[in-house]
Order: sequence, then structure tokens, then C-alpha cells
Amino acid sequence: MAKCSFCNRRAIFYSRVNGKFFCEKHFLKYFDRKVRRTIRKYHMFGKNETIVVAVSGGKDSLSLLHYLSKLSKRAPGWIIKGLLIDEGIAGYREHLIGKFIKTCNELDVEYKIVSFKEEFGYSLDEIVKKGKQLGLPYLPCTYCGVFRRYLLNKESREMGGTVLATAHNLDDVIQTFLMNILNNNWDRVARIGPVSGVITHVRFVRRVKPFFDILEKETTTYSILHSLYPDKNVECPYAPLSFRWYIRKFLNDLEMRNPGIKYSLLNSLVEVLSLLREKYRESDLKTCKICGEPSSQEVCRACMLRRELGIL
Amino acid sequence: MVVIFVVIKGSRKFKINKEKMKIGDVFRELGLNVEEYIPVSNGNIVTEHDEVKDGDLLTLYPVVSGG
Repeated sequence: MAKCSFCNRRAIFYSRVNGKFFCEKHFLKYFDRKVRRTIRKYHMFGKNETIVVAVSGGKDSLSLLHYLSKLSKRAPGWIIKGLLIDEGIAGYREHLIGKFIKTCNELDVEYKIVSFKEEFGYSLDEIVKKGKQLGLPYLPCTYCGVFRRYLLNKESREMGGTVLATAHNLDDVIQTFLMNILNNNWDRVARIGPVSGVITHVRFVRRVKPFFDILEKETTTYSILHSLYPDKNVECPYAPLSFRWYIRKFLNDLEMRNPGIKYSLLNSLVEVLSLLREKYRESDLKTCKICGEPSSQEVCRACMLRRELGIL
Repeated sequence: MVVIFVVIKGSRKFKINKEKMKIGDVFRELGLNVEEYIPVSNGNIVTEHDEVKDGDLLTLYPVVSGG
């Protein structure tokens, strides 16, 4: 039996990066210290905040909701709320919604569920079908990502949110980093930092990633320890079609052979972000002339896609 | 001889017969990456360095999920 490097109890986690073993108590302590350090380092939250947590119902976002809800007991000025966007993918999201509601009730957290269907008149499955019929060049993840980000900002604002917390972890961040390098999208790299930066648009809700420095392996362990891991581990049926799928596999294989490579890549991102922010300064956002939501162009991407799909 | 049962949560099942082995050997036997699963043996999270015992039920929780 492997023992904890700090107290001799039974180990439940082994870090291949530093060769240390952690028992449950010391793992949770380590996890808490890392997240609090990220929150402090990037000034994610002030004394008084209404933090809306974007929840998919999966292990990472439920862990973030659980973690922030517990942390808020030590921060009397914080209100935590949960927001779930139901894209409408048959056989996928419905398994996760029940777990989301149950967790919110157990944590006594106010929540809201918004669907693509009620907001746009079509579920993601219907949108993907429509896009194919029209011969549009987009992958399902493009529609999903654009519409989801649009709704997260709009709905969190309507819930009174002063900040939107997403459960993007270290693995998510470095996958996006590598994908954007390979596509030569440096303006996008400039936007994947732990906080969304100073954007003054009155309808924009600031976004933060408290799990920026946490490996997906660690969020999974946290979720199992708190019974937050989904009962049915159903994968998004569109996931294997995405570029991210290959990048994720590549990075995991690389990490197995070279423990610590993921942290190195994250540090490279942090290093390059300060340089890129000089070049790609976040200008004040415009207002979409169709829907009135914040946008970098005259018309936001959600409205552009809706126009192409003929559902505006 | 050690006989164990391995379940990958939500999908495949395996039965392994082998001489003394550790959890890390089970991963190698099945061609899986230790970075992609959290091993839970008889209800307890374990590490790749723990030994498996005869009759153990090992459940592997995928780290990768969602989209």
C-alpha cells in the first residue's frame, strides 16, 4: 500500500511530477492551496461578488460549484449561483441535468437552466442538421461554443452576476493554447488567460478560471472524493469530431512520457500572454447592432451564425 | 495467481489473470494511459503503485470527459 509522503496514511493520489504521494486529507489541502493561490494571484474575486458558476453537469464544473460554495462560507460577501446551458444533444446532457439540480439543492445554491431550444428555437442537434443541409463549413463544436458563450454572458448578467466562473482546468487551457498555435491564431491565444481582462462594456460579465492551475486528473479526484462524478460517464457524441480530441490525446501521451510537460506548457502560455497583451490590446467592446450584446465586430458571432443558418 | 476484474466506468469490462502485479501493470496490460483514468479499487481511490489482490474489482474513472 502506497503511503502519504506527509503523514503515512493510505495514499490516494500520486504526483508523477514531483514523486509525492497524498492521502485524502493532504490531497484536499494541496488542491485548496493551489486554487486559492490562483484566485489571489489573478485577483479573481473581490470582497463582495455574485459569482455565477457555469455548470455543464460534468465532474469539473460540479467540482468548481462545490469548491466555491464551500469557500464562500469563509467569504461573507460572496453569493454563489449555478447556471447550466442545455444545448439539446440527445442522450447526453439530460443525464447531467439531474446531478446538477441535486448538487445545487444539497449545497443550497440558487440555479438556472437555459436551453438553446427555448432561446434560439432550435436544439444543437437541429442546428447541426440545418448547417449540414445548407453546406456550412462548421463543426458542431463551433455552434455549441459560440451559442454557449453568448448565453453564459447574457444569462449570468440577468442573474445579477458580477463575475462568471468557468471550470476550465489546466488541461483545457493548454489544449486551447496548442490548438491556436497550430492554427496561427495568436489573437485568440491572447484571450485564454485566467481572467478575461478589463473590458468595460456595460453588458459584459467578467470571466475567471479558478482551476487554471489544476490538472484534469486532480479535478477528477476531487469529484470522486465528493461523489460529484457523473453516475453515467457519457461522452458528448460530437467530441471525437473535434480537433481538441486529437490534441488532448497527444498531450496525455506526452505527459506520460515526460511528467511535468503540461505545467511547462502552461508556464509558456503565462510567459507569452504578457507579450501578446501588448500587441493585442483588448479594445472596448462594441454593441451588436442586431441583439445588443457585447461584440468585437458590428454583428456578434452568435447573430452571424444565426443569420447563416437562417434562424435569426 | 491473481485474478482481478476491471471495469472502465461507462464502457468496457475485463478479467485479468496474472502473477503478482501493481495497478500500473494493469494499465500497461490494457494499453491504457495512467494520465487518463483514476483507479478505484473496491470503492477506494488507489495509486498506480498499489498492488492488486486476488478478487479485486478495479474501476477506472475516465479523466477525459465532456466535449
